[in-house]
Amino acid sequence: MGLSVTLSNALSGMRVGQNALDTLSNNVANAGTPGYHRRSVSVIDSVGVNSTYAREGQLTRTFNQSLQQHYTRATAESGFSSVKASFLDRVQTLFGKPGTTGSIDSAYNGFESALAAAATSPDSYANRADLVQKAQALAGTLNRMSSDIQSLRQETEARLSNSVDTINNQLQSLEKVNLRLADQGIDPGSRATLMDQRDRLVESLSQQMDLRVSYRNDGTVSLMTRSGVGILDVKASVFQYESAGALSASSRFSPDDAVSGVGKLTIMTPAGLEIDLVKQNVLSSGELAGLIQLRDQSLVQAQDQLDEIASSLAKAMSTNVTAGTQVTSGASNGYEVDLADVRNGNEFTFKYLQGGAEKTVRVMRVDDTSKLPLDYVDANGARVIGLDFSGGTASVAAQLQSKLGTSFSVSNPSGTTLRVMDDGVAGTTDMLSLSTRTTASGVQNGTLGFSLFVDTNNADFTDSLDGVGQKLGFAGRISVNQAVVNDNKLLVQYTGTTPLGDQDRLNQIVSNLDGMRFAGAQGASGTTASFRLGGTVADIISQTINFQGNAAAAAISDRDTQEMTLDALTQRLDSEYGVDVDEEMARLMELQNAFAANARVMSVVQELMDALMQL
Amino acid sequence: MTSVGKTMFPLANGIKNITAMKARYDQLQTQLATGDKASTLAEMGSDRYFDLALRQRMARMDGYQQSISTVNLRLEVLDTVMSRLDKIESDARAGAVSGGGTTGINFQTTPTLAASRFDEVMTLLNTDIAGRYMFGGNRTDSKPVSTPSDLMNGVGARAGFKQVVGERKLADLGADHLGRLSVSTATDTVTLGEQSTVFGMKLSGVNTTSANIAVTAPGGGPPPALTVQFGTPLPAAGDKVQVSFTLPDGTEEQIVLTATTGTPGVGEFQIGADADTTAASFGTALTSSVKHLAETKMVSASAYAAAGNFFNGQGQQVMRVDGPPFDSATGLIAGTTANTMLWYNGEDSADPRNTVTARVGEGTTVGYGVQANESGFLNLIQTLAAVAVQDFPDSDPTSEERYTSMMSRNAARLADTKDNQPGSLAAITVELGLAQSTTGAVAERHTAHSAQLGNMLEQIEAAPTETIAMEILALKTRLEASYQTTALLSQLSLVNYMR
Repeated sequence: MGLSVTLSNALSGMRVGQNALDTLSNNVANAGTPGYHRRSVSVIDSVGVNSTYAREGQLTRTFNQSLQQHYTRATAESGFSSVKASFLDRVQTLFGKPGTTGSIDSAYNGFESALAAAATSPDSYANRADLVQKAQALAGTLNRMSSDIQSLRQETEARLSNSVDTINNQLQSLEKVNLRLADQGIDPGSRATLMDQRDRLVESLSQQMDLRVSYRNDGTVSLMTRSGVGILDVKASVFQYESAGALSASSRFSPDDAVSGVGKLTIMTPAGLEIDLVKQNVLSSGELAGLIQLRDQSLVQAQDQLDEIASSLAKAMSTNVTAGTQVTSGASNGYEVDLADVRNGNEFTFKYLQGGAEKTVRVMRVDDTSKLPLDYVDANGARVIGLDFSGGTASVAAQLQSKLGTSFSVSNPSGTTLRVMDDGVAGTTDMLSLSTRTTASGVQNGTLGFSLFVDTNNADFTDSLDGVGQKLGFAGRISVNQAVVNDNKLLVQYTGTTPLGDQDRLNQIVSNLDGMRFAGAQGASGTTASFRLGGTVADIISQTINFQGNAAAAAISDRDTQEMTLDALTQRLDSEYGVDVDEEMARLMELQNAFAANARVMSVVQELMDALMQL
Repeated sequence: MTSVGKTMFPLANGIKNITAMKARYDQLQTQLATGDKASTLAEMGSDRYFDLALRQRMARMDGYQQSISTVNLRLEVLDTVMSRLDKIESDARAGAVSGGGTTGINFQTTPTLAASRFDEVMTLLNTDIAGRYMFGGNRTDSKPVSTPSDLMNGVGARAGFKQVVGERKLADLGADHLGRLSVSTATDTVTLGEQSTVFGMKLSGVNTTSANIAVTAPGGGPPPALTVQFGTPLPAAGDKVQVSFTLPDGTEEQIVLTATTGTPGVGEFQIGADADTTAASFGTALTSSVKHLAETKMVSASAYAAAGNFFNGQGQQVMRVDGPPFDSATGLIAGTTANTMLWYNGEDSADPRNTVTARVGEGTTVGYGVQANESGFLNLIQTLAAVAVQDFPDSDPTSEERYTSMMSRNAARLADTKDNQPGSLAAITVELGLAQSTTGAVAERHTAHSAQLGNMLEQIEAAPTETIAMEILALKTRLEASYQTTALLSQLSLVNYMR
């Protein structure tokens, strides 16, 4: 009858109104909760029993998939850039602003000034002592910076380990949420809450790594990395991190597990497949990728650059350059030089003219045959050839001849002398010079070069390539020769009888620091386009500082850009998913009125029915 | 990390901007306070490399300026010493008057003056600045010259100059005081020959005004000899025979013997009845003349020669007479530290100026080393020392002639014409002056360049106060407006208006 229809209409109206109020109160209560998606009740008219218009309220949760995907990608980039920025910022603080005390460039400038003062007054004890002290300060700065960089690497390992734990926990939670969501029987309110939880977890995970999220129709998600490795599909993969303990400069990443000195990050899929994330280059963005790039590339490069500085510094002090004597034989000109003092890692250099251009070849003595063949072009444009000297000078001559080809004639006339002649009549090459650069042995043996800076246990630094190479980690080991610290007259006296006013040794050091050019080694840190250092010691220091400052500035600006992008996206998300309290309040007023109206209708129907009953 | 917000009521965008503005405001305040545009390496931006290069150049220039001030100090001291030495030399030259003066007073005063000047020169050569000796080349930690009294008198078994002079005197004179020459008369020929020794007088020539005397120039041997032969007709009265000698110090002297018919006086020989007697008379006159020459002029020359031996120059060794016995000694031997005082203990280099160098600019090096055994000092020392050891007692008849010959030699040795030789006092003074002017010019360049670099550095690094102040003002306005609007907006909520 009419009244009962009215009643049921009013009732359904009130019920829908109650649902709406429910939802509204939920929205208002969670207005500030992060990750909360605004819910609304959508009303569907359907014809019910007794031809009443029963209205069903269905809870809908706002969700925009494309925006969400966009946001996921942006969080990954933001995580990557912010972790890089924070670490590189600390690296540039290590290097220090130019001119401040404790920065490497002011330590070096102090050393040069002390050197100049000592060269002017070598007989003054105060000047010599000051020079030794500045040298120690410089070595100490290099040591400190090297150990700080290694501890930064250590920190990346610690953070990787922590992140892996967090990721695993979140994946477990997400797996559980997925399972619950797959069950369609849950009530919509709880369902919406679970989906909020699901989105929060996905957001956290996307900060750690770059994800590709597939949202299924039933609300579950499956996660994959952008490179295609599955992380979650019903069952979650487990991330594992095997720490490598303390990291030193020689702990580098290597695809060969036996040699690799850093921690191992792997993922174990539910099917039992284990994938090494670093070896297979699986991650390209997110915090994990950022930490790995820092540990294996950025910080390693910084360490290598410090090692380059330390090695050039040591070599500038200890290298004796012996020029060869000119030799003419028939129409060929050339030079010969004695190779007796060339130690492991030392080299001899010759320059020649070919086609009007001046070219340089550096031949290095390499005792560790596993490093051979060695033939590359260094940062100054010189060709570097490594040769095995164990067969004597004759074998060196033969090896060099085969490397150089017919434009030269290389021979071993006697003993340890090497002769390099141009091709005489043919005229394509013209020898310009030949000289050896050898590391001095001993501090007072008559040569002007001496090992002011030494390796551990006062060992000479010859830049040998044996094993991992003497240069690796040298910045952490460089120190001032103890003999010189004990007796600073050794700075001046290159023989036992040299007078204290003799300036030769100190002048030699000054001119070496001014003029001796060094070049970064090949492929210094694994990236093919790696920045290579070349020039005098001061140049190398400036280039390093500039590079690191640049890298830090770039990382910081990158992070700022990503953050801005993320901010813009967050704003969009807020406007899409967020709760506008004013809107809700307006709706509340309307619902209130509607509810009151429905209640009034019901009470009127009640009165009418009462009146009917009294008939 | 802050990229994904997990906090309740994460910051609305409007508030984030306010926070960013406030941070910028703080940054501007720091800039204003410190005066630096950038507070970290990363903030320096593309100016970084330039900044590094500038700082390095400025540090280097500071180093050069310090070197220059050290070098200037040393050059000034050297200059003072050199002018004092120059004064001593000119005083000594002015004092080289011949003649004993009234009552022979000069005979007493001249050697004493020479000795005190010698002492002063040696003391000046031992000048040091804060323990760094200036006149020993690069041997700056020990005294370049020995103490004057030790040098003169010797110490223990080590012979001093006086002893060396005495030995040389004996060697040059010979036992018979003939200056290591021998006169022999045979019938009509008188032969004057040297002995095979480096000491004594050497024959350099002979000539005669008479056609009746046959003279042969020194030759033959070794050792060389000259002959004077008389024949008929006998020489006429007034005919002269002149014999020239080279003395041990390289100077030349002559003896002239005149023929006379009567009794021969000093420097004369009698024309006898025949050639033989004439020759005999000639021989006797020659002998006494040579003896006189030896005991007077040659003794002076011998003192200078001994000075040359004892005060050795660059690249030379200390030499003394090989003996005893000294009067028949034939050669010199090198003195050793055991038996002779070595006067110079500093560095002996062929290029004294470059023994001590200082780098005062990129590619500019000044050399200001001085060695006490350079020719200027050496000459002065030898001359003074030779006079200082002399003795001119009134009772000695040779005193006056010795004195005169000594003073004339003095004047010749200390003459101004020697100034154009390398290593002379004037030459050294000029070279040091050149070094000083170089450092002065370089210092000026450095000051100007430093100022320039400082300006450039300030342009890069310094925060321009006016711009910052303006920016702070603008930011303050924006911040205030944002605060105001945020406060207003927070009031505008429907909740506030519902009953």
